[in-house]
Amino acid sequence: MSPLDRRVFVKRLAMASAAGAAAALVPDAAFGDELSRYLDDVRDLDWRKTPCRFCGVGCGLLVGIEEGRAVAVRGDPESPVNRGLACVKGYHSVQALYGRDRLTRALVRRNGRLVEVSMGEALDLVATRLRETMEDYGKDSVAIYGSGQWTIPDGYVASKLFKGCLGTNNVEANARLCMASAVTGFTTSFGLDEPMGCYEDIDHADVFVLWGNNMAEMHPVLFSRMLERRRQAPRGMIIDLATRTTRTSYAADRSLLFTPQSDLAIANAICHEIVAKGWVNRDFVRRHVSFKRGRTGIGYGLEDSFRFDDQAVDATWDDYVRFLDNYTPEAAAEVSGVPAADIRWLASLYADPARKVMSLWCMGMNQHTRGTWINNLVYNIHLLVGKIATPGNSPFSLTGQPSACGTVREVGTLTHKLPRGVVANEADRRFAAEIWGVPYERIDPVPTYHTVDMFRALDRGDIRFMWIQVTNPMVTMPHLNRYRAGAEKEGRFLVVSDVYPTPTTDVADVILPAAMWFEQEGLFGNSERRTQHFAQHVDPPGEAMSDTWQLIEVARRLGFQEQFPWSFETHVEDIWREYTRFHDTPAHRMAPIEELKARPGVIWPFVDGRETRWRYNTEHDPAADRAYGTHDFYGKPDHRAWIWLRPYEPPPEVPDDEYPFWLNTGRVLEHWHTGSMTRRVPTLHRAVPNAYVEINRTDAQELGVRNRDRVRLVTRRGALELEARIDYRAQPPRGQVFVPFFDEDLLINELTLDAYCPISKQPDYKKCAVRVERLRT
Amino acid sequence: MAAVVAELGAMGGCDVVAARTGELLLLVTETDTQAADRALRARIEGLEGVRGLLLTFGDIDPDTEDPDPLASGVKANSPSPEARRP
Repeated sequence: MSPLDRRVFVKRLAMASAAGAAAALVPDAAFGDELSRYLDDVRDLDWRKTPCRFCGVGCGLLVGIEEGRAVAVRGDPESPVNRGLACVKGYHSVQALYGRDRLTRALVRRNGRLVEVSMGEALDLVATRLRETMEDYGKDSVAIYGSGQWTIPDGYVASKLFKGCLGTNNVEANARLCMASAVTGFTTSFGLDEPMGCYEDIDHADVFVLWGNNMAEMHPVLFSRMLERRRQAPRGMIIDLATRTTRTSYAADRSLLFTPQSDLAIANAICHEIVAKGWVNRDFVRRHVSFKRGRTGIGYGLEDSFRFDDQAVDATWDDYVRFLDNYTPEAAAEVSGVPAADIRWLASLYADPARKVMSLWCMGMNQHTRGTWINNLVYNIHLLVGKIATPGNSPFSLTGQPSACGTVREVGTLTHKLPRGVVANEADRRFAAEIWGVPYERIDPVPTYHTVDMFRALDRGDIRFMWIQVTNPMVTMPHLNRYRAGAEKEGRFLVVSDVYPTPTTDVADVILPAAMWFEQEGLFGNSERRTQHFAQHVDPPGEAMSDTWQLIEVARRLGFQEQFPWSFETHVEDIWREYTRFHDTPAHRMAPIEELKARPGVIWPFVDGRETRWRYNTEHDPAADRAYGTHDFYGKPDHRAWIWLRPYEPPPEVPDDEYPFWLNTGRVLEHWHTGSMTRRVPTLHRAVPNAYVEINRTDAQELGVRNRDRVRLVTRRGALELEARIDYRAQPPRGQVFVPFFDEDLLINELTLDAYCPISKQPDYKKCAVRVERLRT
Repeated sequence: MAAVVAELGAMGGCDVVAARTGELLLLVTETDTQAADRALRARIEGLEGVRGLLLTFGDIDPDTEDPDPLASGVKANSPSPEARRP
């Protein structure tokens, strides 16, 4: 295409994107023939469907293909997720395939230097070192660390190879860093993972309470849907309950700022008020709820030797009421800084019989040293008032990655999990062994290392071989200095499969070039239990290969041809058919591949050709038994949801004289996670080229810091120089600073603390103590 | 609405398609440099009658702009940036 042609084409593409967004946002808007002249060229492209891969919402996209290259994107108007809309990452997404330094050849480190080798030679080396390491150090000296960006086949073959064939439970994924507390929240409260509702809840709800969730930047398409619902609902309202002021706060009807960690006290105080005012839905509680008490004073996982198992002990309604005595709104106000009157007002919204209420959250509640507890406590609120699992009444945990649910949670690529059930359960092991075609005894009944522990084991030398796929832990691990030093030690062998060079490939012994997104066929599963299939639309560059096929090639080199018999042409379909045997029950049946190819995703359980939008609701869920009434929480043996008595406990590290600020970290709209892809998209990179530190204006004045001055942040673990931003896109309250983690050149995780929730083992990236030093210019 | 369309048309570098109903228009801008883009955006935001802008697509011509964002990045804390370029 000539330069002139390209300019004309891009302008027409831009107009087409704007028209698509307009159709999604204002369905009644009508445009005349004038628009047609912009769209004619674009219509001629070969448009193919795919889910977006740049967050957990799972927007449907249409990708325009021309001469074997993706050249255009628009939202898929047939997708029920986004109805034709996309966010700025989505609209620019395909450019991430074509960065100049894309990895296209395998690289092997020899004498300290990376040299190109053929893919076959690299895979031979991976298989040889994997076998030798197991022979020298035992089966639990090898590990695989994947991602919520793994496709479902990627995760499935990884689990089958490592757990089923090699016999080690050293399988983890970065979803441990973002969603593990949501998982344990669901399983402890309901016995089964994943939300009971779906995005359609947004179209029915009146009140939206966002718990530490900056949806305007992290889930912008769902946020737009929520804003539209508020516009239409007569009593529509958005409440932003957060630790800093963000773009979400500005769009909300009320913004309530709380002290980090005090969400535990606020949630209990809301329940206290509901009980005190007699707003409890007594019939619902009597029929559908049990009360449980767990262990308290449970620690923070800072020591390598730390171990914790919770224990549920029966409690009564009276026990619960006595427990709540400690959480009057006034007491919670003392801890949280949120006025008691506002806590009472929140309780009245939850309890108002005329309003449907959604609670939404993501990393704010999950990356929390009491992440499981705060998930439990928000469910407690909904259970007390009986506002759960009906259209518009929905506690909803949003995910951050395109297949954190589909791959990590449903396939079970965590140390304790199997595709169905857990390794500790003999029946689950036997079931998996039969499908996998391996001896039952091969699957180890004892979980090994969760993510933080896995990198500690690598540091100690208990793990010697680690294969990392589609994630970048040398940017994302908390207390990063320790874990990077561990990875670089002598005697460690790291294999990294990725699409671009990253700080993680920097420490690799073998780099395998990976196919990205729709350069391969695959499936993702999003936040609302929707599985989406995508075909291969373009060829991967050079010798790049899907993670699935890399694993199959190595498995065969290790002698497991029988377990990995598939042809390249049909392996994704064959894997799907094998995998879905694990979920062939009314509670979790998955759609056949033919249905997935034909539709813009299908929500499971998929039974008799119908999706299940509201689980546990006996009108909607084929697994729920109407004998239990309106709801059947069949994940628990007593068919009841559990209200947990979970107290407020302080975080492990709080500001003091030496480190007087809270350090909070997170993402920005324009960048996906560690920026390894979105920083290769010029428009996104230029929008936010480098990390920065947000400082409260008054704090900055007291420190003598002006906007864009350079400052040094210091914690007990490290120091980092950054540009200060004041009244930028968000504002922390006094005593807090915020730094995004997308920038591989400014590694904020060298400063963060590797404390985690003892139940979920998910680290807390949202709070540790930091000092801010002004730098002389 | 008509006034906004007219003002945008007079600015140069703007293609406008207005909806027949409602207060919505589709706008495509084209500028030679980033600075010109910022200036144009500021002028549009300053127009009386413009209540909000939603960016749906952006493109930087690789022939006129550096297409390799990381090439200009600060490498102060990068563990071994030279190893990043095989």
